[in-house]
Amino acid sequence: MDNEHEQQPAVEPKPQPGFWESRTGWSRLKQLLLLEPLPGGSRWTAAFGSLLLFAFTLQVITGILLTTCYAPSVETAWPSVKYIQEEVPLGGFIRALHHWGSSAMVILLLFHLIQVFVWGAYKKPREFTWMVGVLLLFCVLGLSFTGYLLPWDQKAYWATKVGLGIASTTPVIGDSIRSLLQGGPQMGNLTLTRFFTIHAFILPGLIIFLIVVHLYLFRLHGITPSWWESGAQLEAKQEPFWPRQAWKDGVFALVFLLGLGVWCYYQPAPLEAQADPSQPYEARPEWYFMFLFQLLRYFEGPYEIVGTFVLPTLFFLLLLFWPFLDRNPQLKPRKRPLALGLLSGGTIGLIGLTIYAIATDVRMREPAIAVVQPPVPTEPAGLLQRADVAKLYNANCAACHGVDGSGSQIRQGMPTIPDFTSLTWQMSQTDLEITHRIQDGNEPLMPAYRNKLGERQILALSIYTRAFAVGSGEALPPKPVPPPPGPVTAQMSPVQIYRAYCLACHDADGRGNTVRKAMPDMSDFTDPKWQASRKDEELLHSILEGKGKFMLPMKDKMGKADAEKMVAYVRAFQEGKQVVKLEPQPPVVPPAPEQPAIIPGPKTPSGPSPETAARMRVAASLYRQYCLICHGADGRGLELKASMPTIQDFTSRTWQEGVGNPQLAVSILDGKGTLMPAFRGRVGEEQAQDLVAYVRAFGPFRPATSEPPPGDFEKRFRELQDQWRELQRQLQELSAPPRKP
Amino acid sequence: MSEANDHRRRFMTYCTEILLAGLSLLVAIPAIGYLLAPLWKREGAEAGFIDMGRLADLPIGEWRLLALEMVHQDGWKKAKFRHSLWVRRKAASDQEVTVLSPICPHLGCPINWHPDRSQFVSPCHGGVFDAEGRYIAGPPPRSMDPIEFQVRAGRLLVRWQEFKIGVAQRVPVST
Ligand code: HEM
Ligand code: FES
Repeated sequence: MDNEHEQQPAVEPKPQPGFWESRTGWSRLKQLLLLEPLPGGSRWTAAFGSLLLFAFTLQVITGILLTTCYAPSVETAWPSVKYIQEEVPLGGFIRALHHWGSSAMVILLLFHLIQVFVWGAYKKPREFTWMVGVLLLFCVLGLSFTGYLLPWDQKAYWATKVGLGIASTTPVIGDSIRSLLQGGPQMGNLTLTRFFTIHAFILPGLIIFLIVVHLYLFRLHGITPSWWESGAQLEAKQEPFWPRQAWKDGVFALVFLLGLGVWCYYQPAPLEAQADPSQPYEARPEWYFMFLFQLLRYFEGPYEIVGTFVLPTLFFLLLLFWPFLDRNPQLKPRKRPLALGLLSGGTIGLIGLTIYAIATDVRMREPAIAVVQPPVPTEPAGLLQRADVAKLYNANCAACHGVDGSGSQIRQGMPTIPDFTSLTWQMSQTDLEITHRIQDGNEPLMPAYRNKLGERQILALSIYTRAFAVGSGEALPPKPVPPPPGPVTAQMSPVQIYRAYCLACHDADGRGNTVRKAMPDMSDFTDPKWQASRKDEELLHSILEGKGKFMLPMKDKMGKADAEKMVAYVRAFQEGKQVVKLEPQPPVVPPAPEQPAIIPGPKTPSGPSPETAARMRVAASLYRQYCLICHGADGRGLELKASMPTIQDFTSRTWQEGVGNPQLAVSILDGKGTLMPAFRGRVGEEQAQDLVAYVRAFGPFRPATSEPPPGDFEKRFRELQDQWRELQRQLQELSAPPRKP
Repeated sequence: MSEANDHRRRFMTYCTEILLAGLSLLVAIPAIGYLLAPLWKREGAEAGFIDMGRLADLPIGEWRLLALEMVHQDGWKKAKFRHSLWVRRKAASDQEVTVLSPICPHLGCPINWHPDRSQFVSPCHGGVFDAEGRYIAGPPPRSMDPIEFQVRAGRLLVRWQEFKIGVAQRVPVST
């Protein structure tokens, strides 16, 4: 600005500085950065340095992008990188750019170094430019080392472990260095956070600072002339950075970017299984550290430190102070045999060692790649406690199956989810089936846990699953069993079906008189007019889909074929030709196939006398015949709740406590309200008492008189209990610490 | 500088500018695409109903703040989130239940129930709603948001839903 002010009063009024210019003075910045003359002019060989700058910028950009989804901690580092890799749009590509970009930087640095070495660009007065460059090289190697750990996969973990081990061989301060880097006595969360800080903040910051110094020094001394050019030639070719050198740099950058992009498109960055210190692994460093790795093989025992510390340090020092060691002022390569001999020897040695190391490297076992092969499940060693199993369940299963195992919270969206508290379900599953389900899942809903959990854990979970239905301390008290899904009438004859589902309302004679008071629309099957007014299809539809307020849809209980049979059965009532035989005559054993439809809810107290047992069986069958259709298999009356809002929930404590036994018996015999029919005549007084006991058994407390429902059920229940004990014993055996007597 | 030289120089400048712009675009496009990932994400599956416990355990005629816990995919991890809801049972019947979101439709403060005033009050800017959650006074643009619920097996099930705040219409926010 000062200049411009001074020039203002001059003869010709200069054009007023524009809006931006007067506020930022950017043209001076442009002058400084872009228009300063470069001695020797633009050249392709100078583009290597800019390319490095470009590659670094790319690393910074992709690094920042990765950081938006990366969470450095032992639990989250690997999952978040996997998430980037697999879930985030373009995540895999950005990660590949960052991963392969870091390798590319190392290669570019090597090129750059060789180039300036051959040109003798480190010679007086450019010693410091070289030294800053060497520092930059080591900072980038530091970035690679720290970045390598961040994905926290097996190779990251083990390579870093070895790397830290190498650092700790530094004389005197080795252990301190390791502790400082590690952030604690072991590799873990603090290692990750520290490495991340170093990787994403400290080293990039330092590098940017060093780059500024590097470039400043470079501009200060100008480009080193090629040895075949004279001073006069250089003068003549002088031109500004902009636009020719920028063009050359740009072309290089474009080629580099396209090459890297194509490479990354086809070659995703590897991600191995999540780090697991208990899994054996053959640690390997990134390829550009392989020469060091190889070097270590030549120094054993007390000489190891030569490979881990002495040689690398000497190498670093030699490189750093090289400009002061090589006093030869000549630029022509022919006149610098020693220097170039060292360079070629060093380079060939380095590359040779790297290739040799990679070629002869035999791994006993292939590393597990995360994308292809998920992590090997890990199991805590030692005792598997009940609490651990509960934790496992809560962590893996409860999201869908609920902490109570009922799966009720998501049944709406996932109708096929089983109810572990249902004995019907429990009985339909063998232990093997349950374990198999957990291991292999049932896509797409039930995930496979084969790779997430160990065998012992899966076995434990299958036992835990059992526990929801069979008395266990933790699981909720078992609930009454809802009717199972799917047609349950498959093997029932029409009479049985009629008894089970229709008789309660339509009566044994098909007239439906008992409930007509409450349900005035009740059809009379014996009425020829009614029969004539209904087509078979209509009847079929009503049976399957329900009709009006009270007729429940049966489609979840029977298939179409059964429903057709029932239509015929209904037709047969015409003119009173058919009467269903009632069957409350004790003792009635229910037909076996009916079993799964209506496993009565109440659970058993111990030790019923054979006589009570028989009576309860009768009560169960009565309930099934007359009550179940409205009150439900579980006594809650859910299905008809909508049309009969006053229906009671037998499982409710309040209701159970608020009503006395005689009152219940009266309701059963004489009906209640408009909807509950009177059952006197179909149910004897004593049977009514038994039904009261049966209804009581739905409640939260279990009266001593209540009794296990039909025999088969009881047997299965016992079996299940035995199985449970056996499994528990197995579990104990599995988890028992080896005890020596 | 000769005319031809000047011309070449300008052409070179032009080319270089295009080259560098192209280069920046090549880097910027994937970078921005990556950053915009949250906008790309397809909508998550609709939340299911969540069990809030037995209806019978709720007192009749009183507003209660009930907590619910739900699991959703949070980045790379399934995580549990807790929300709360205002629930009142008006009568013994199952259907006479009101479930309101406690999130103020103004700017999202948690709304409190003041039993002494029989009003809901948003503590931040003094939005006031009546005992049914209807707007009475203050900055909120609409009444409190009702939450879908079901009563099954005597248990209250709700479907958690958030609504856009600050607008008069009730617009569900996809989770
Ligand atoms: C010259 C500069 C850089 C180099 C050479 C470099 C190198 C590396 C390397 C080798 C990895 C491991 C990649 C893998 O195998 O997955 C890595 C990971 C990472 N870097 Fe860099 N990095 C550089 C700059 C940055 C910067 C500036 C940031 C952030 C501001 C950053 C953030 C990250 C993050 C978050 C990871 C972990 C994600 C992953 O591993 O995929 N990096 N870096
Ligand atoms: S947030 Fe409720 S009044 Fe402003």
